[in-house]
Amino acid sequence: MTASLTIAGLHFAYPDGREVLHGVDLTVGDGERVALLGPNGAGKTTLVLHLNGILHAGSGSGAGTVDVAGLTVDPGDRARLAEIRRRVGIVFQDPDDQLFMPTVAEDVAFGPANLGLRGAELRERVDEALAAVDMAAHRDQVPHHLSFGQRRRVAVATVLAMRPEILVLDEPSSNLDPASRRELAEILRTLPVTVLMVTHDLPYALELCPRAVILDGGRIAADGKTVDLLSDPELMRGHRLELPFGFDPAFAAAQLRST
Amino acid sequence: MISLYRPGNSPLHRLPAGPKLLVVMAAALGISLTPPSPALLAGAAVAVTGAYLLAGLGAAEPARQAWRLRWLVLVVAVSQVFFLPALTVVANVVRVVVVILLANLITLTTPTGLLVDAIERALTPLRPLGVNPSRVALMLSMTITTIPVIAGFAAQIREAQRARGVPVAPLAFAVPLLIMTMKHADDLADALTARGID
Repeated sequence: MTASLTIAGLHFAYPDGREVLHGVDLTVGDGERVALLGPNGAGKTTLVLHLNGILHAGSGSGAGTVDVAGLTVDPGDRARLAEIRRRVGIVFQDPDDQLFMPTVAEDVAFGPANLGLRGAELRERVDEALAAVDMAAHRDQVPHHLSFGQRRRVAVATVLAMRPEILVLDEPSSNLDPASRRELAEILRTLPVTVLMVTHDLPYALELCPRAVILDGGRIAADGKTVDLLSDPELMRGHRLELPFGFDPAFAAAQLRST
Repeated sequence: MISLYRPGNSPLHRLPAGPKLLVVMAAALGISLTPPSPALLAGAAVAVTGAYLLAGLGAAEPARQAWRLRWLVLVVAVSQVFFLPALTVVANVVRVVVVILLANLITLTTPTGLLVDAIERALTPLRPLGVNPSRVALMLSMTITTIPVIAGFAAQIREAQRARGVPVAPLAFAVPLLIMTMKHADDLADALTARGID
């Protein structure tokens, strides 16, 4: 299996001296879906912002490398950075940060238009991305007027329109009602891309990601099958992770296999 | 995006955004320079009302819009009434109201996206001077989309304060609003960078 994402020895400290990452090593294979778990303050968001060079050694102090499908993130090489930003699609936690154009279709077109796509090709990208998240019927609406779940789906579409190698989702299920949460899961499961999903929603991680890693104290503390990690009570307690009341990961995983 | 736009199919709706902007700008200039003659100003008021009728917005709409301007009218009138003859004061008030009604007519009959596009096209000749029209247009449309977001922050803060029984306190309102807005700006910048704009 070729690697979509390779992180090696990643260290990072913010300019104010807060050390967040202490040597993260992580490889995600092409087409894999991986959940990134960890308590608040573990460095999950900092790690995500490194994946496309928004944060890099130069924005604080750091070391290590991030490779995206063979391209090394290098803040000095702007052309390569642009290509990396196309390949790594980050869906931010708050869709209101990500949606800023007058209509849904224009918002989805924004990224590909920046890549230089025009006319029929651009329209095709927009239609494809909106169809993938089942929002084609809302293409001419104002993003601000959609429901929260719909806005999150449009945010996913804005990233899919770039045809990314790897989709990075920051807390995709947060603030969603159960029905929107399930609809988003159905969509994410059908997408033919590598997925790295940051989440506190452990049942969601189990449902969508066969593999999970636990980030704690700026290091990868555990890496394995999601069901195995969630079934290890000591590991979970040790990293301030908690399953919802009554949730049995082994039972849920068996249910997942049978469907 | 603030949606003041009222969908319709009147001649004013069909007029392209660029020429419409130009016509309104010329009319506004004309009205501002009109001598304070009652007949001319009444004519201008009638013409604007006629334009609202043409746009299919009804005769009550300009009256409603004018009523919303009552505080502005009061400020304009009071600040001049002691220094200028009554006719001039009335003329100035009518000018201000008529120009604002004209400007509102554009917002009511033009989708914001088309207006931004028109402005982008108008700026294209400035490209050699270092102006990037698409960046200016992006900035404009982002400004417009951000207004309801910030209005939402303001409502949220007021609700939270009311729930805790805090009386109206400008500082206690402005500080959290400023912090939320700056946080939003930071996150928006990250999202823009992630989508390929530096």
